[in-house]
Amino acid sequence: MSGADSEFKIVFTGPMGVGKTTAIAAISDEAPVSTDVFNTDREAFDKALTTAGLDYGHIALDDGTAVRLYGTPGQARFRFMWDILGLNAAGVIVLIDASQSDALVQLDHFVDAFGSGKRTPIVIGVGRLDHAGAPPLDAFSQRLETRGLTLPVFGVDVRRRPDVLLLVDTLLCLIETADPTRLTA
Amino acid sequence: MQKRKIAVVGLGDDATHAFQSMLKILDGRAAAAWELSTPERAEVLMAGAHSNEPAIAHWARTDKPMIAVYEGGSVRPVGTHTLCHPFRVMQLLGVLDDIERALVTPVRTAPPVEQLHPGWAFAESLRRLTRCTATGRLYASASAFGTLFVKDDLSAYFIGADLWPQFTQRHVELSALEGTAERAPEGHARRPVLELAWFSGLNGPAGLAPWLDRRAGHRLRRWPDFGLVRGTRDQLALSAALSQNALTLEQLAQTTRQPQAQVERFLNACSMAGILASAIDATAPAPVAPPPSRFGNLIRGLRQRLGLSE
Repeated sequence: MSGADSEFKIVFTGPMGVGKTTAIAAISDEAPVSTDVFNTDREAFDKALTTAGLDYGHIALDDGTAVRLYGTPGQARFRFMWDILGLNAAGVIVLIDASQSDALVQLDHFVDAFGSGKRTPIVIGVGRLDHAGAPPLDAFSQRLETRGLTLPVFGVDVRRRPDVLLLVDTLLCLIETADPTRLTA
Repeated sequence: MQKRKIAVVGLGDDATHAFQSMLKILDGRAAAAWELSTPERAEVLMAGAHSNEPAIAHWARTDKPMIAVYEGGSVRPVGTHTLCHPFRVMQLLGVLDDIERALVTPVRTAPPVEQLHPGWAFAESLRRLTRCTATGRLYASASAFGTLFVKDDLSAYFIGADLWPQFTQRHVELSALEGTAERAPEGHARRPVLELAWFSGLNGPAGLAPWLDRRAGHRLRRWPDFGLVRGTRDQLALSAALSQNALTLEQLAQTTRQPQAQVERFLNACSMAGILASAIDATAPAPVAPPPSRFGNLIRGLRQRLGLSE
């Protein structure tokens, strides 16, 4: 394998404040390189910094190759970055925050943006399900089922490494099962 | 086109009217021609999951298909055919077509309870309970490690600290669920019924569950909630395979290179969790096992680095 063929890229995506940087940090060899800027949209999400370009982490393998981990910016105005980062990705992990009022719409939005699992395997992690008023996990599964999409949806807390590993391991199983010619098409 | 009769009970007026309008829209678009009927004559029942209609209790004792309709925000019933109200016409179409496929080539149904292997008594009683209507009763099942209790609206079950690890890790002989006037002891943990359903299938007796058909092709309607039931790598791989194709037991074992006994347990668990769609389709082409992934070595290396190797 060489060039783009040998690149193994996993993309973490989802709305602002959902924990993409945290998830990458849980498995990356080193703290992720972030391109954070001051959050000027404190009304939408109350945190001081947000990712404007991308997060980058990597996992070096024993044979000298590396797995690259990219986190997309969460805000829709950086949508163009999603296409760039999603290009030739081996798989995508979509993170959704159930406590956000438009969580179900966000699910559609991000799943659609990355090909609805038809181009690239997608795994979905839903956090903050215990938040008062948050839809149950079933509502997210139901939303996908309605659209004829059978994608893995798990309740997770990305601050817990085992939860991040569950998402990654599931993604790897999907990649193994998927059409092996997909990435070169 | 095959004509089918469907009855509606226990739904609110708005849901009933919406359903009737949708049936008209589906005329000519569904795999069968559906017409409204009474529960006595119907082949399929559409029922409010938490209503208290006698017709549902009667229906629950049969193996005829039932569509359980539940309200958004409440727990999804652990049944094969469910709809979340308010539902869309395409959702209804999907469910009705699924049912039609099953009706055309009926898959196996469970034998009468008295003929079942005693090890399946609990799972079968839970399956029956998922088809019943909620009356607020508590049901109990006894074992050598204590008694567990299930709310009949399937919103939760209650299990003691001695029984839970046994039940989730290996087969425990549990008696069939029976209504009880007792209350769950204070020390019992409240847990989701989905977990109870999953492990009663996974850790049931060896072999395919009596209500599953060896000839049928199976596919997943949705993935198991592995955030809750913590699946193994093999279960993740089986789910990945069944989320992409309908496969028979033999095909699934072949495709994933897993022992049939293990695949049977997985199918039993998915069936109990209400996420498995099964139908016999003689025209379906045999799937071809995918060639090894070209990322095979890299994926193995990544799993090793992350401590995911089994």
